[in-house]
Order: sequence, then structure tokens, then C-alpha cells
Amino acid sequence: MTSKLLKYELKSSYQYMLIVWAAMIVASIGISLTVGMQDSAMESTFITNLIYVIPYLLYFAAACALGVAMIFVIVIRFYKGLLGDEGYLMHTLPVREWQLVVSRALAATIYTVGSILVVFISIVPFLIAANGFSEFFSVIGEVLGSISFKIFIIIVEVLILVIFSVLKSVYQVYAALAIGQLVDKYRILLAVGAYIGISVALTIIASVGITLGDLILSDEFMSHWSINPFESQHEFFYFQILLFFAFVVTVAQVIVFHIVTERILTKKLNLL
Amino acid sequence: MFTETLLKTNNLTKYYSGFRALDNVNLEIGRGKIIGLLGPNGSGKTTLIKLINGLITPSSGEILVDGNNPGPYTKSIVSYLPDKNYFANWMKVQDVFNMFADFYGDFDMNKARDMCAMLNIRPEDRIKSMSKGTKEKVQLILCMSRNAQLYLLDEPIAGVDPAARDYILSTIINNYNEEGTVIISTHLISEIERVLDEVIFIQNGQVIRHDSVDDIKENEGKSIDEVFRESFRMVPYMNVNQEGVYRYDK
Repeated sequence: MTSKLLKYELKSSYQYMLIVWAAMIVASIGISLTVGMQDSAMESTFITNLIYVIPYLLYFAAACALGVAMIFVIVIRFYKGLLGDEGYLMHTLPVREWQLVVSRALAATIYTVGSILVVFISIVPFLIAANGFSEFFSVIGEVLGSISFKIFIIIVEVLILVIFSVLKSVYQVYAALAIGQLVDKYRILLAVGAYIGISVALTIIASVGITLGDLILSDEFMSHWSINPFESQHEFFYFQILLFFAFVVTVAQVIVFHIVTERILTKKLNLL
Repeated sequence: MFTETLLKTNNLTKYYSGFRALDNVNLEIGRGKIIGLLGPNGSGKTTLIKLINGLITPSSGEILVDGNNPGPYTKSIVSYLPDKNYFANWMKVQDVFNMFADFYGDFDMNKARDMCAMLNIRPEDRIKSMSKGTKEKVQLILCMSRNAQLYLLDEPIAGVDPAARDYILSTIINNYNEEGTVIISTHLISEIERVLDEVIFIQNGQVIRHDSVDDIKENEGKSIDEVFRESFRMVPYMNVNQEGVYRYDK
């Protein structure tokens, strides 16, 4: 049932997301083309200046649209889809509340990670325009060739950590919105307050954790990864510990936010 | 195997921001009936229906649908027509048909398509661009295309013209699962009393009467509409001066 819910949730936003992603890449290609035109030393007129500026404006507009799209898939889809009138359909489907929550969190994470990828891809035409086609690919080849197995492992681990960090951010919004729906009036105000409160609490906990870590961990440990985390087996091991710790903290937040959201929707659902 | 009592509420109470919307409601409803949940606006009809659907949670008391608290099982046997438009902007008619087919084992896709075709609604039509009345009809079609045990219809004929009322009522009567029960909440009694087997009168969150229509007619010799008007009679504000003359008559 969760996969069916995910299918419909992905379907709800895919057209908008694809348009924004395409606009972003087209605008970035447009910029790289105009950079090439500038290099070819065309005479500077009002028209040519306009042609140079338009792709930048389009890229800026597409970036803004991407920001709006992110708010839409993370905040609005949950708020309208589960806590608004659409909730009358979703909460009467014969599924568990956790399935509704997980399907939305997965869809939001897929679209957010996809957007991060598109932003990176949209930078490629800039780099090609700035450095030349063959230069760009020779640098890429050099970089890929210099990646050792250890660095490859670390890149994969960091990517997984990024995905869970996105999931954690999505769930923090969900938990705040679920807390907001507990009252009959001023729901958005309470949700915003809850989000800020959670963020402040997390910052305090993180500060305490870092201070304690600083006291507990030896200077030797700190000195190891500040030099080069990737060179020796010893330092690689220390970096793995840090990544593992970051992963555990992130996953713990995902679990806590999920439980808060799911429990509130199961025990205290309050559709107006 | 289904229990004999389809719906039971025990001391069901619901508060909204300190206001008591439902007060100690005890109901027991059997199968194979069409029941009118009748009461003036704000009497607690929608609150009761939302509680049965699990869309809000009780402040105290219990709801049992076929012996179970609201959850995935009860939702699989309850077909609900809310008084809200629950469609998302992206949905076409076929999308929501597919959704019902995916989640409700008792959904009859062919029946839904036929009912839409009779109203010239095409599966590829985008719901967002439909009129309010057409959206309500699509929701009714979805609700009545299920072979459910309990149909909960919240104000299905409120705010529609008489022709649409006839369409809605005949759709309900001709399409519900006769082994199940239909609960219709409304304050428009005269329109629906001919189809009702039982009535529940609700006022200020309390059930003040639960009787069969035949018993009421036999014992009191009045229509349900007349009994309703007597039960919920309100004294209008008469704007009179001390001499007993209406101020508007001056």
C-alpha cells in the first residue's frame, strides 16, 4: 500500500518538477552559449547585451521556481494533502497513518535530491563555457582517475548522509505541521513556532554534544583528520567514525520526527 | 463474518476548544437500513460522521464499526461522502477511479464509468476545471460505486437545485449495497423522508430520538418533517414595543 501511495504522491507533482528542472538546464545552456558569443568579440549593442542578460534572468527565475517547488513538495503537499480538505480522501483510505506519512516523506525526498542533482548538472554548461569543452573533460578525467577506493567509499557515504539529511529536514517540517494541527485556530502559527522551537532545541543539543565531544576526544584524534582524512588507514578510520556518528544522529532525528508525526496523526488527528 | 450490529457508539463525547460538540452519544445501528441523521445546523451531525471515519478523535467514549475501532479495517467497509471537495488539483477523473480501485477492494470501476458517462463526464476530464456541482456528483459516484457495509453521506443534498436532489437521491437508493446501511445527514427532511427506514434526531450534540419511521407514523400520525419541526421549533425574535405593536408596522 505504501508503494501505491508513493506512486500517487509522485504523480501529484512530477509535471511541475520536470518543467522547473528543464527550465533550469535550458537556462544554464543558454548562459554557456552567450558566454561563447561574448568570447567571439561581437560588437556590444543593446540587442547583444539583452541576449547576454536574458539567460541569466531565466536561470534566476528557474532557481526561484525551484525554491517554490521545494516548498510545494515538502510543506504544501503535506499540509493540504493530509491536514486540509484532501485529508478527507487520504485519511479514509484503508491504510495506516505511518504509510501516509512515509509515502509523502519519500516523495518529497526524491524530488529534493533530484533538485540538488539538477542544480549540479546545471553548473556543467557554465564550467564547459568557462574552460572549454576538451579542458573540462580532461579535468573531469583527471579527477575521476585520481579517486582512490577510500575516497570513493567516502563519497558514497557522504551521498547517503545527504539523502538522510534531506529526509530529516522533510520530517522536521512534518512534525511541526502535525503539532500545529492539534489546535483549532492559529494552526500555521503554532506549526511555525514548533519548527523554530525544534530547530533551537537541536542547536542547543548539538552545541552541548560538540562541547562534550571536544572534552572527551583527545587532541590526537582532532589532529588526525584536520591534516588529511584520506591518506593513511589510520586517518581513514577516524573519518569513518565521524561519518558514522553523523549518520546515527541524522537517522535518530528522522526516527523521532517520524514517531512524533505518526503518533499525532493516529491519536490526535483533527481535520477541520 | 460481519457482526449483527454494524455501528455502535458508547458514551461518545467530543469537545472543540472547550465547546461540547457531541455529548454522551449512545447509538446502536443494524444492517440493511437507510437512516436519516437529522438535526439543525451545528447540532453535531458532521462531528459524529467525522468521528466514525476517524478524521477526528473522540474526547471520550468509543466507536465500533462492525466491532472494530476506526482504522484500516473499518475504512475498508465504510464509504464516505464528505461535505468538502477532497480532490487534489492534479487529479483527472480516471486518476481518482484508479486510486479507489487500488485501495478499495469493493470499488466497481465499470459502475463508476457508466455513472459518469450518463452525466457526460469523461475519464480524462480534469477535476480542477469542473463546477462545484459536478465535483460533488463525481464524489457521489465514487461513494456509491463501492459495495460497502456502511455509507456515510454528509449533507448530500444541501445547496443543490431540486433536479440535482432527485438525481442524488435516486443514485443513492439505486446503488447502495442492500445488506449494508446508509446514514444520510441532512436538515432537508421533506426531501428524503420517503426513503428513510429510521431517523436519529440530534440537537446540541445529544441524540434526542432514535426511532423507526413506521413507528413514528403509526404512533403519532405525522410525517417526519412535521415531527422534526415540532422537535426543533425555535421561537423567533419578535421585535415588538411595549404596546404590543411590531416596530416594523409603524
